[in-house]
Amino acid sequence: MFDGNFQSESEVEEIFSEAWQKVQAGHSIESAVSAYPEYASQIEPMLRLTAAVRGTPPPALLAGALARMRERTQEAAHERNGVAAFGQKSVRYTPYVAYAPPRRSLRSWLASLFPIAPTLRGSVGVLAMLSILVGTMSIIETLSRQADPHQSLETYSGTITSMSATAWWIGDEKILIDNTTKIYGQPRVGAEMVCVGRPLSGDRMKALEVWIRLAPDGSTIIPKTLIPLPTKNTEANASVFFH
Amino acid sequence: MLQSQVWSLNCNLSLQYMDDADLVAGLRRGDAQAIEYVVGQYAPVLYRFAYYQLQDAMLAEDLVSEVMVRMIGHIDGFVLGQASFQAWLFRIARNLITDHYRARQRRPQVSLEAMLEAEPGYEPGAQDRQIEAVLDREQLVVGLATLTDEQRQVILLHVIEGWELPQVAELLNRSLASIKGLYYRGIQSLHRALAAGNNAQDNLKRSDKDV
Repeated sequence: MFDGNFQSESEVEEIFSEAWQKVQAGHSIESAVSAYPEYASQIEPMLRLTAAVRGTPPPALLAGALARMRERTQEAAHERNGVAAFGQKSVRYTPYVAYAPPRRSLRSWLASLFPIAPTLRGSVGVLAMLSILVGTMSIIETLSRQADPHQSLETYSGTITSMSATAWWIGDEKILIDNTTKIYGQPRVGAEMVCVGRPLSGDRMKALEVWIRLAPDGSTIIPKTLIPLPTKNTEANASVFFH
Repeated sequence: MLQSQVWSLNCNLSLQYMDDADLVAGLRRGDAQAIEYVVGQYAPVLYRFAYYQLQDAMLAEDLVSEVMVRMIGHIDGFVLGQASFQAWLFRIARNLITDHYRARQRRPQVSLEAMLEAEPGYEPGAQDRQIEAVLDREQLVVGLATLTDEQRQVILLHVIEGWELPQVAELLNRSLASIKGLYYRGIQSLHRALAAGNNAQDNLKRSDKDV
């Protein structure tokens, strides 16, 4: 109820705070109150109560509860790191092409010799031979790139929206699964997954390796450190992406 | 087993963080030691804060666990310099407590009966002196439940946890003057509630004797 005395009310609030600070600094309650004789009767019982509140034995968190919290927090951190590593959205990557270390081909070596070849030999015949050689190497390199399956590997991540015995779908992307596909974790609709595979025509991909991050019911958690991929090429691929 | 022991030893040996920036950087990396530090350092404090408001040990434990999980989930959103890490954790806890009561659509119920059952050993008379001298935890829980949320939080943070009033003002987003008002009025209300509890108990004892 308003008693028309705002000033004194705010004063006593201020004084009470000051007096409690003195008590906390080591003064006795009597000594703290003695500095404000006109408010002593008001603030002394409040200070005693505040001291009693302060001295009440606090509820203690049991060691088992603390351990459970620690475990749950660590799990949440692992999960978060997994999400950060895999990315939250369905994104198609072309890791090998993007991250392959620069490699100097025979063609480029020969090409670099090309300008100095006349000086070295001074022969039109040599030039002709070099030209033929460069052309041949170019064809060989093109063919070998097409033949190298690793060149066309891609990773794909997202949520499994539908599944059949031979294929899973991440949105419109069809991921073909067969008995050669290595699957880590327990796949199910709604689970987050990452796969490395070879793109096929249309929105399709032949999956070589698949990791399931977390199923909807939380039963499957991918290890923090991913299982090394078995082949040399894909291992290099994974190291670029997941470490 | 051996690995976990070594892990635990390593954690214990390095439970020191220079400042919030170090700690938050560790948490963003998913550093196990940073997590260990946060849980060890803040979970007991948050638990006290939650316990006195929820009046339930299990609920308080669950809430603190949830605070930790949310802390990890939102660590990228923590802005250094805007608030202390501790204040940020308490803000998460406050929001969860608010959500809890909103979901239940009611405030904590005050029960003098419960208070009397919790502490039946009082002698009649001189209630004030008794309140001031010894305060049982259950009494305090029931007494705190008679306060407004903000009064209760000011008392918990300032008196029990030892926060400075300006820190409390920052957390509750109130002016320092209004925090001082909440503090004083909260203590007054608590005093009245505890005295009423003691009076009720005295009456109960007298009626027992009459019977």
